[in-house]
Amino acid sequence: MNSSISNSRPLRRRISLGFLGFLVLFAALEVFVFRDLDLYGAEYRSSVGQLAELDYSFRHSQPEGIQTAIFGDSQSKDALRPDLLAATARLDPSSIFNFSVSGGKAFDIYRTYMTYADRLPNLKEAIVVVNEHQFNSYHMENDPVFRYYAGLRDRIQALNKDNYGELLVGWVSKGFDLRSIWTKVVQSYFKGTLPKPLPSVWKPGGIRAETMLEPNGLTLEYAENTASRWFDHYDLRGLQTDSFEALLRKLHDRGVRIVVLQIPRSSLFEQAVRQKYAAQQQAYFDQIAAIARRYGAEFRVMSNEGLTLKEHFRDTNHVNPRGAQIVSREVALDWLT
Amino acid sequence: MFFYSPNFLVFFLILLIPYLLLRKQRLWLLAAANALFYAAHPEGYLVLFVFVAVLTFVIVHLMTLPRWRWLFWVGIVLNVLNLAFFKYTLFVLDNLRQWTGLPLAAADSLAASIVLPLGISFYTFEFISYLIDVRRGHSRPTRSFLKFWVFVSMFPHLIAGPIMRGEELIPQLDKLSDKRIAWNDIRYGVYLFAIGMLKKVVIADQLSPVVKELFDRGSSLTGTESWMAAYTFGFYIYNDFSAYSDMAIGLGIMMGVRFADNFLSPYLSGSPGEFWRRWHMTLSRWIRDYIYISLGGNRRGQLRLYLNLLIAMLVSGLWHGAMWTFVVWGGIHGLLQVAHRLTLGLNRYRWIAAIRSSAVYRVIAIVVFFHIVTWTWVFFHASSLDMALDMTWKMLHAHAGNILRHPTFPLVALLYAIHVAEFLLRKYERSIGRIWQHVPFPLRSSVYLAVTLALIYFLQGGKYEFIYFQF
Repeated sequence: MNSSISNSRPLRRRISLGFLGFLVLFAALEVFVFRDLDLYGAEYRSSVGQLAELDYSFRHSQPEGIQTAIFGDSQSKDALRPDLLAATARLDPSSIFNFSVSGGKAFDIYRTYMTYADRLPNLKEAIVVVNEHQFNSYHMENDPVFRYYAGLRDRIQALNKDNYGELLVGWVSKGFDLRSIWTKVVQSYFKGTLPKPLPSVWKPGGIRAETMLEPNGLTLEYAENTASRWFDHYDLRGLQTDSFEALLRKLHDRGVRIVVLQIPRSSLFEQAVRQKYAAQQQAYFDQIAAIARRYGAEFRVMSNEGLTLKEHFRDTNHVNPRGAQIVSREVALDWLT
Repeated sequence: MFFYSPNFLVFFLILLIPYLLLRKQRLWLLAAANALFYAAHPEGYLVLFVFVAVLTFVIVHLMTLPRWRWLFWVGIVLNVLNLAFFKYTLFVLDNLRQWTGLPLAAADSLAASIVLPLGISFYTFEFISYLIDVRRGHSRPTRSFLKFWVFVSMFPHLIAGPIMRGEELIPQLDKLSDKRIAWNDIRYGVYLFAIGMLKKVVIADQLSPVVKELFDRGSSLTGTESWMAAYTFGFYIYNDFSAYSDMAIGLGIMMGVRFADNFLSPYLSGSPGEFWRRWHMTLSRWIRDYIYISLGGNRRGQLRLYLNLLIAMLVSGLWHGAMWTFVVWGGIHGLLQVAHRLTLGLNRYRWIAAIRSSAVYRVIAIVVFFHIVTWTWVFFHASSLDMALDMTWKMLHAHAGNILRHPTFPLVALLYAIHVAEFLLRKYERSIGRIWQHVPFPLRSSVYLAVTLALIYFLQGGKYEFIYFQF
């Protein structure tokens, strides 16, 4: 068994310096540019760019002082604000940090925690905010945050006959993997539409909450579309659920008290879910409750009683600043005092 | 699994490593890879393909025996019917319905549910050419079904050509296990593949929405806009289709197999005959050798010559798709060929022949013929004959000044310049290659990096398609 590549010339001539130089340059670009969060952070409103904002906020905090961490997605980012929680619980605001990321799924949330776990020496309490969307493993490879965090093992778990190329080539090259993000950064740069740099004086505690009212976000149609986006091809088995369990296990193993919460969504949204996806929702409840029990965590689905669509929500499943005051207060009273 | 998709990249790398190392097993590796490649496509009807391949192989062998010569016609009819059933059933029924008023080709009928198997137009032509070549004595039938299967199914050319012939490919397959694939072969293959990918991703895919937006406007297009639609479509289809051929040829070279060239900067043609020697060359020669020559070619008088040309081009048009627009497109090209042949008679006047051989005439001929070809694309791409005729009428009345001032015109000029640059690059690639080796390596590395980044940048949507797949 011998190679049939011609050996007639010395190796250095056969494999040209131009090609080797290209490999070196490409590797350098991969290491120093495409794997650098600051590149994506130039557009911190994007799914991966927000991780740079989170990191920026974390660098402005005092990690040794953080005793309570919140993990979740945009719902908890908007609803559970460290300053509001601290005010009700009479705690130092810098002792609470919200690690929630928009669009975050269980895998993203787990990996976000792992990024900072070693730098949280005095963590005592974790509020893990869940919803059905976080546990759907269907086409998870399309999530840029998944791609940003995923290693080879994670990718192999998400492989199928349609996505194996994307996932494997993406593992080799982050430039390829996150092309949908960095190309937009480049376009925004040339159009001059990049957001202003993050302010140097920063209120620590996590990514800033979204406060703008979502256009048409308070309609039944919006609620139904969101429910459909969350539940179509609902697949609870897979990396997302495993990641949630891994998060609870890691927290439990280091002696952190865990609360698993589903924070309030509007009645309109709950109605849209119940109408079409009651079975999937029940399966989700059963799954979360079982995992939470396994790690001694309390699982609570918070009621939306007292929250009205127009006054307290910015869309059917995200609270607005007034809603945030109520939800934060309730959470602080129940679990932080 | 299209050539520039990451799935294909992984597939190809997985294949290439054992392919380079295990020379004696190359044919088996290729046979399996071809089947896998074809089956991976949703419209890849592997069982049908294998069935037709086996039947054709058996027929080719039996028909070499004197008493079984008639089987040749069975082979031809079988292949033609196979193609006709999948490609033209609905077209025929739909036309019959319009002419007779009978309730044929209803939306829920069997005919309406027929899906065109991927690559059927290409592999059918290869089967037919093999049958005819063996019958004519141009090819000796291979005794190995494995080689026959690899010849017709070899994945780089399987779906959209180049349309290969047994006599070209099978002798290469005979020597495949002894073939040494040099590092230079790999480099040249990668170079062709990269050119194809640049044409596809950076040009064709970026033009696609422009073309769509223009043609979708249909009858609301002005004459100037109709020209822009035709220009952009002309460059779109060239860059899309020739990109596929470049990639296919590049992949073939990396595997030690040389496929026939399929394009040679066709918009630099000065006549219809030259155009068809530069555009989809493997189809053109197929039509010439198996339709035009079979009909008698130029051996049966002038009138018959013109008729044969017309028939050959009508078949070419119909091969592209089951729509009257394609038939008319082929018919127009047939008439152009006839008209050009008629004017060749004028060369008996020396002064006309002298003008025709001048450089100025050549440039004018290229510009004029480019615009004629551009106009014919309207029939190729329009959704109906009415739309094509409407655009044609408006194009005839368009003002040259408006065309030159149209905001899309600079893009058209740029695309033409790229077309000329590609011609020069390919024509002088040996010399350029030698000069390139003397460019300082950091600069070469930077160019490779820039090309790679450009490809990644433009490789956005995850939508991997070629226009000729539908034919």
